[in-house]
Amino acid sequence: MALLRIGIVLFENATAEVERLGRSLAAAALPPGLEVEARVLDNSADARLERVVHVVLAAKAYTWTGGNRGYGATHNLGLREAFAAGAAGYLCLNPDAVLHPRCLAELWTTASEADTGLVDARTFPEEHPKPYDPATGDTPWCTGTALLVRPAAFAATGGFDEGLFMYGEDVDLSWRVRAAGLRVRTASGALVRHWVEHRDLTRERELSVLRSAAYLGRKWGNTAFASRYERLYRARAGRPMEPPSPPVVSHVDRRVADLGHGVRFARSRW
Amino acid sequence: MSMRVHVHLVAWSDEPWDLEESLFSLATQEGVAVTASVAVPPTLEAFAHEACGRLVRLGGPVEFQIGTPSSWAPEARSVASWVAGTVAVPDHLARALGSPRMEVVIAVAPVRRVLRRSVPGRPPYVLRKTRRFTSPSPSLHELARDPAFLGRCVVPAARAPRWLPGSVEEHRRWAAEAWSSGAANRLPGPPAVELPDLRTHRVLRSVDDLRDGLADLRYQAPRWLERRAPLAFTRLRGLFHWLRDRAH
Repeated sequence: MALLRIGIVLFENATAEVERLGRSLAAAALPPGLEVEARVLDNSADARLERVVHVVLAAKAYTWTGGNRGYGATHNLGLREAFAAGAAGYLCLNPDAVLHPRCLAELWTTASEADTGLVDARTFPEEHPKPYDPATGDTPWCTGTALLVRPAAFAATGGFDEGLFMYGEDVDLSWRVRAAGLRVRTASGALVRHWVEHRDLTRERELSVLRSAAYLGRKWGNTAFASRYERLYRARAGRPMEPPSPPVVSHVDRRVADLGHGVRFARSRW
Repeated sequence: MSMRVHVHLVAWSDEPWDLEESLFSLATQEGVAVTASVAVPPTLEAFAHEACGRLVRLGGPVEFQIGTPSSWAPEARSVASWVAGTVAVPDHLARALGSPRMEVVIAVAPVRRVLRRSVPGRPPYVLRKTRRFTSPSPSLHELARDPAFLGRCVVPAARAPRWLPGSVEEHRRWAAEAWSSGAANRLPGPPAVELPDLRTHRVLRSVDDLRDGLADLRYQAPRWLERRAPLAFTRLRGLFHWLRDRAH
């Protein structure tokens, strides 16, 4: 029996949101030979969501992390734990998502194919405009809403770059997984409802995007790209950005990065 | 207690994924109760039963029934008719029901047309999505250029014909009856519904087509600027939001 660990990082989420996610996990149809278990890491200011998690998510393991460590750093805790326990996959799942009942099965089917490192689900109703190969699912990068990580991908990369607090960590991980020779794919039959189009782009979120873009530019060897977003940050924040100092990627690996399409990091279909 | 909407979902093709996505969209609507009748060709009947069975387990306020009932649910406040492949944002029906004079005025949501390519054994691949123009009080002539146009309309019970439409021709006839007793209003905001682009001709043929092209350009131009010149884009952000969010 293969184990798929589902990692959910909470941050001040509404109870109704967690309940909705729990219902969709309970409705999931699993393929034979796969078992799933939820692991919740709570970055909220306190542990008041613990009771809700135990009731609606049936998660045996809940940990209050003591504060907001960021998406990537928190999932890294879950990834290390899951693969140390022998899990065959770890699904990073946003708490504001609703899984289609066949989502897990579709993700797992794609993830089980040879050389696959990462698989993402198709967001719904607003599908991400990045392209993927309709036949094979190969895609430039995977989104982090419902992102399945295979042990080989974690072994090759060590997980998310913790220098990225929010936004861009999924892009960076995807590029490193591809640079390591593994496939990064979209499971087109895996639907996950993630409706964020109605949310305002707050100043804080916008600055996070700009900071991450500059970081990725520096890391992946495109100084012009990084400088452009550093200037943007300065214009929006009214102060210069603390210069990021990421680990720099080798010239060979840089071939997988796409910094020619702004912060979309790939050609857009629409 | 949420208000109820009856949505009649019709599959015009044998593509199971179109049906699945429309059903998922209905099962995840918020703030309304939905009765969905699902009319499919015989080849999709078993699939439709399975799909409805798995989606009710999500616990949303939706009831599915396979087949075409003689009329819509008597307690429904409004009626809509979707063609499989139609998808809406989760608050689309609730916003339509909350619009001014909903008891008598047909609500028409801003939309995008979605052009897809079939992929054997997998969901259709979306090639592009384009905005289309919608006037503040859209006429039936303006809307019916899209065969699946009823998917964007929410018709108050007082104006909805009692029968439920199936074919393309029935959709037009049903709409004509609904439009004959009053006006329709465009809902505010960005596109809330995605319609499968089932038009047989996509070349520029009328002023309406030209308006559609301009509506899409209004949306795409700022996005192009965002990618090419983010600093300039940031300085024009207010204009971008106005263009993006203003109804088309």
